[in-house]
Amino acid sequence: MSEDKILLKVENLHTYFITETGTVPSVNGVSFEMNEGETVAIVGESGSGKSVTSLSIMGLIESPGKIVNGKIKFKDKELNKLQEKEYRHLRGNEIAMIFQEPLTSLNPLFTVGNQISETIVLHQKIDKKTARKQSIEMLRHVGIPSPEKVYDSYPHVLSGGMRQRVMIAMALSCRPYLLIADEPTTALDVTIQAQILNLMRNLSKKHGTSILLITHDLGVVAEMADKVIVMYAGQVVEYTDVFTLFREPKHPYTKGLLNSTPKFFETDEKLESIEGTVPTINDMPKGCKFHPRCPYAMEKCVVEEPQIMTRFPGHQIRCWLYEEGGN
Amino acid sequence: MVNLQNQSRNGQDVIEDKILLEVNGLKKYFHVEKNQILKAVDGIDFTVLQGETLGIVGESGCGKSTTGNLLIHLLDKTEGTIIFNGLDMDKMTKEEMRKSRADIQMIFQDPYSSLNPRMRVKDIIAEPIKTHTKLSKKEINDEVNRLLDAVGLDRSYGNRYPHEFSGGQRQRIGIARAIALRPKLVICDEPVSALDVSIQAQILNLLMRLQKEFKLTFIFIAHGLPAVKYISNRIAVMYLGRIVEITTKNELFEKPMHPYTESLVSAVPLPDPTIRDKRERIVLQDDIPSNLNIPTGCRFHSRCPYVQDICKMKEPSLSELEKGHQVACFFPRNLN
Repeated sequence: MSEDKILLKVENLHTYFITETGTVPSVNGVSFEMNEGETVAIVGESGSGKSVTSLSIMGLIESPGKIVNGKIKFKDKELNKLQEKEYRHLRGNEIAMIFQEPLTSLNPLFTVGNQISETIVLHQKIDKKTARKQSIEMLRHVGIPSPEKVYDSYPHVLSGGMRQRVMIAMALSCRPYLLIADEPTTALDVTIQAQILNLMRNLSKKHGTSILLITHDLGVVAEMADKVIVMYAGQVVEYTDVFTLFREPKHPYTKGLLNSTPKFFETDEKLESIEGTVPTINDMPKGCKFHPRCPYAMEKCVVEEPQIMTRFPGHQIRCWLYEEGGN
Repeated sequence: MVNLQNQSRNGQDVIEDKILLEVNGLKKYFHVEKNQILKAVDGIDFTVLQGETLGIVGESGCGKSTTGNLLIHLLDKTEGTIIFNGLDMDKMTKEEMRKSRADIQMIFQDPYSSLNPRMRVKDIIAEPIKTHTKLSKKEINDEVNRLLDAVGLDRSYGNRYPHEFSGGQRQRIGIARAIALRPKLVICDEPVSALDVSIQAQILNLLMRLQKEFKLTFIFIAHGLPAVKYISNRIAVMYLGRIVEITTKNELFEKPMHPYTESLVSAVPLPDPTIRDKRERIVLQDDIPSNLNIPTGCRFHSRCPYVQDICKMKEPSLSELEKGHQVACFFPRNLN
């Protein structure tokens, strides 16, 4: 699927929230790249910094948040150096985003059609009538029955699955190169989730849209992703292709996550869990941020923080266990 | 009477041959505007054996949470009987009723809104003990400490307030409160849905350990199939207020007979990328119909890939097609 043409390159991204009580390093040195047509998943639990990473790319970090260091390169532009006006031209046009809760991301006071055609008119400089036609076409494209009727409906009359389809239609209306999907199916029922994942997969295949998928669900990752970034406490701890990650997870956190996910078709399995809790900003451990929960923690892990390194071809790991190509 | 295969882990059979709960023809209708009736639960029958975990799965609006709320009297039923521990709940004396309230407890989905933010953890856990027993202050305090130990929380946490804890820890507090009176039946309503993946496994394992330790019976309500499968002995699948299939968990996942169950099972994203292109998925079309306007005949017919004419006219009843496997469908799948 990938054509090895780099679309997005995030380098050493640091996004901090500077508050009265102290500085919160939400994203602390994240680097990765995405090729055209690729689906990359960022997995992590609450507070891992996965959503802040995506908002940083969208240029939606607001005060007291700030990108304090790092580069975000999208095609030939350096995003974090753009003026707001230039960013606005990009957002919704070349990069689009869909969110977890489609109800709160749609404006309840305007019709669905109004909101989709707004994007189209804004970015494509066409008249309202053509925009209406295009919007209805887009609604049909994402599998909405009787799109003309939905075009004139308000968001509250639609079901959760329909609203998420509307969000996707809106996000794709300008044929973006990159779609950022932040937990797009978490709020949906199982059968509706299957519909939406199918839809995203097909659209990506058909139009070559790259998808940056933010999720906590390893099942969704396994179904959708080409490459996977595992985040923990604001950092990337493991980064490789999806097959390697599920076959040979290396970082103890990734292993723990996989072991705490029910395998479903195995009978009488025993789930292992990662002990302890995700650290909060107030009790961020020294050394490796995962060491208090890590079954393999060594002395070194407590005092010194490991760097992320390519330990195997195409496989980056942030862990002292793999120092000097160990296993 | 459903015959359970020996399903418990580690070879220990804790499921007894005694029915703890029997529900017959249970209905809950809500009257909403314009004389419309919302049929949340529309005639369900099931039994729960002492010591087992019955999972109830289904999507929004299927009535799974309403069922849980009916069982603990948070809602009054419209019709039907609930027989708990051999006693019909409608015919219970006040004292029996009071006792049954202590015997059925609930663990809620949202560990934030289900704990009173103004109460200390030890008071939250002690409240049911104070209400239902005549223990002295010291005895209650000892009991609270034992419960904190049992759910894996430090005893010193008893003096703190809920906001000082993470979601997983709060869920442990809710669990300690639920088991404080050594109830017979605990209804777990989406207890892990709001938690992080690594914490979900902790809580599921904790529930299973406590079940053995305290000889509990669980009804585990959830929309996420993997968690339900992990913890349950038997599973009931609900759709628009009805049970469409009920059987042991392995039967349900290996040989789903109802087309709805079949599609649910096939739709679960599995954590294995090597099978994603080979797997046969049955993606249902359309949305779940509204409970205000339930389709005629089989309520699943509007989304069923195998629909026939009779399905639109007649509603199939839940019947035992194979031993311990009940299905409500005219054209069941995977039948031997």
